[in-house]
Amino acid sequence: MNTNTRSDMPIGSMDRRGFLKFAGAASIAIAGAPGWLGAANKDAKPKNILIIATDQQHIDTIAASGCGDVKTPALDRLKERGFSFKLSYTNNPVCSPARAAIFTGRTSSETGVYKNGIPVRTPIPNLGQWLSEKTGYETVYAGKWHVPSTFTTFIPGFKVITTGIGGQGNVCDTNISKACRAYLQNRSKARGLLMVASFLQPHDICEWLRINTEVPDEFRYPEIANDLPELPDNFEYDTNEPEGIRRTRMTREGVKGNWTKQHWRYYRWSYYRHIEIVDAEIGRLLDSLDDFGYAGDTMIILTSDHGEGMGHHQWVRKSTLYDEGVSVPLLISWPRHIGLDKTNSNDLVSGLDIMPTICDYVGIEPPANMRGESLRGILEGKTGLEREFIVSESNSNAGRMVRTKRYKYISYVEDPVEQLFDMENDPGETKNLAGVKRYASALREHRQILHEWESSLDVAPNVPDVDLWRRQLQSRARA
Amino acid sequence: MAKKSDSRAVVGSALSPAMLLKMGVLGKIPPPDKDFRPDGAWANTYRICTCHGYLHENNDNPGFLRISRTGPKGKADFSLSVLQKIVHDDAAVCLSEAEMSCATDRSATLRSWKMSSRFLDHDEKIVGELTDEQDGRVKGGAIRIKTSSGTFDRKTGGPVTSDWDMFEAVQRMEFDVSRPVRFNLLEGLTLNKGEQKLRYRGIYTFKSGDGRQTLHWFTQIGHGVLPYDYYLDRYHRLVLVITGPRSYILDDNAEDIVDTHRKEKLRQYRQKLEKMTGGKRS
Repeated sequence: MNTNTRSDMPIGSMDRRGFLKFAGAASIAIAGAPGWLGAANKDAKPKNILIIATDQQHIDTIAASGCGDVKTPALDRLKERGFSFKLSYTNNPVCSPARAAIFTGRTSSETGVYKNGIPVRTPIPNLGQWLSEKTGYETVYAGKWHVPSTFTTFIPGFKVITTGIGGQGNVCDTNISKACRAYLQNRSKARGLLMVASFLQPHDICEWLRINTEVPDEFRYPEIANDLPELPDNFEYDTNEPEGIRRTRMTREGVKGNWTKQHWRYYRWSYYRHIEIVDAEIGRLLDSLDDFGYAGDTMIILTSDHGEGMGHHQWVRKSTLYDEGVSVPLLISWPRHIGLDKTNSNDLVSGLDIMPTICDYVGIEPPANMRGESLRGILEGKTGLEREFIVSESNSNAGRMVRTKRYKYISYVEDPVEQLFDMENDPGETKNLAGVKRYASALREHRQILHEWESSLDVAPNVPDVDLWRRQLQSRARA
Repeated sequence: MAKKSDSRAVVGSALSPAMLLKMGVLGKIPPPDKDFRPDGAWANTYRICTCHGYLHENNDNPGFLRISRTGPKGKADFSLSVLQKIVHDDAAVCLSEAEMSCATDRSATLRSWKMSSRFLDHDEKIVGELTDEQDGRVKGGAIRIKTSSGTFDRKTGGPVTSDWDMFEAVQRMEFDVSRPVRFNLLEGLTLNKGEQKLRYRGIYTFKSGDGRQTLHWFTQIGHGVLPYDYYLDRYHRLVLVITGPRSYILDDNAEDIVDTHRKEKLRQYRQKLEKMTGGKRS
């Protein structure tokens, strides 16, 4: 049962027409199936499903989506084969919590995985367990898991291809894709396959950061000095930020190391090379599907656990609720059933949607209390989502983000500074409107959305600060 | 406490011979051998060292790379044999083996090759369903790969050189800043990464032990790779390669060191298994 839709989440007597006016556009049902669907029908099931997970991939890192600083032939192929979502968000911009949410369809606070290295709360099933129990799909997992072990031979519900070296995508990712290729070649095709290929790159940027903290006297590679990407438009940021964000930024390499603009740009250049590295591994997977006769009937879903700062708001790494941390790629394709090269810029989607979408496509009910929704209607060009908002949580249960079509609201526990951004007019999140009188009603509405959303969750008992959150949300919703 | 604090100290600046020495992972570089002939027969074994970004923590040796060159001196093609072993978490191992025929040009352009990729489980048994064997050859602007499942063509946009070839080619290059070489990379004989450029940087000097050591430095920059820095001794033997957090260090003891690493991974795996099963499984 999805709970984050308009019909399930009444907001009482508030006038939502102002800041939610764009939501209606997503709800329009399109009569009949469009021409590009071809032989699609509502009972069709993909013979195989391949989930490709990257780690720490900023959403704007795909050449075919307009990023001019990187070459990504494999990601371009994926985009051109299907749907890409522009308003795609992780449920939590940290590895383990995000992965737990993707593979269970429950929020990180519900799974109990509120920070790295915690297992999913029993008895919430993961995708592998659910499909193993309810379908005949063979369920196979290769690469990073991190719920709780980063790489492990034991993942409930999955046959595991044991590969991976913690913190070293530069060594292990190529073996992950090689193992997947061999498995696709050698297995019997009698059963349908759900395969997860979970890469560690571009997460190695974390190693890069520790290795390049200091600004050298001379630029190490002068031949690329003129090719370094420009700084992002929102490199400068509104200093009226929550205390925790300001404090964290001070500990991160860029600000702490007092980087020059050239060093910031070199960091961005290096990050793009990390993207190209994982792109090549994704290319091997796509070639394998082509080579061994899978491509015609395999649904491919690519996403990332969270984003990467890339210098936006002078941030590096993850964990921020700004878009560079929470916005992630989501590409979905299935030949003849999902339209080619479609970009959806209207619907708010979440990593929480992946499990219900897969369940929908394989013809089974999802587990109880899914917090996401099937995206099938959008993918097949029939309906948009009725969803008007999504919520993301943050590391250690310290923060919340509410994203509506027009605004983004961010709040941290026990922090008096709230943030409200007009995402239509200020997509870089540079002007905090939370204290601006003209936006008081929007602020109230987002507080109320969050309060009601939180009240609907079944938060795991190990999650910290739950009572603090409840009190804070309640008092702000009443304010 | 001081020791712990030091172990968490970050590396801070790009990996280099001096930095690897400071981190304690470089060891002694083999002394220059005046009889070394880059275009002759030789075998180099490199320890693959990974850096987590800290000076003295999590710097591991998960693998080795052994490259052997055979074939006539001069203009005829030559052969390279490659064995690479990478130990993963839970003591799984990936073995890559290749026999390659290459041109004696500046970038050791690939002609043809045979390659196998095998995975071993924690008991060192081959996992049959993860084995892949390929024959490849270059044909015009494409490569043709034959496997047990069929023949596949891949466009490359021109001649290709593998990363393993480059370990050979760089040894035959002049120490000359005016002669960069451009090539298309076929990484691991499988991943096509074009637009690479390798150039000589000059002499790199650093303090080592009681004296100063001098190496010759090349840099490769291109699509889909972090910069590769190659360091050679004065007789053109490649002694060190650094790319991002990964280093290849010429080391005759590399295979033993990696075996020790695998045993430690196996111990950790068994400990984990014990914890999961409460000692009910062996």
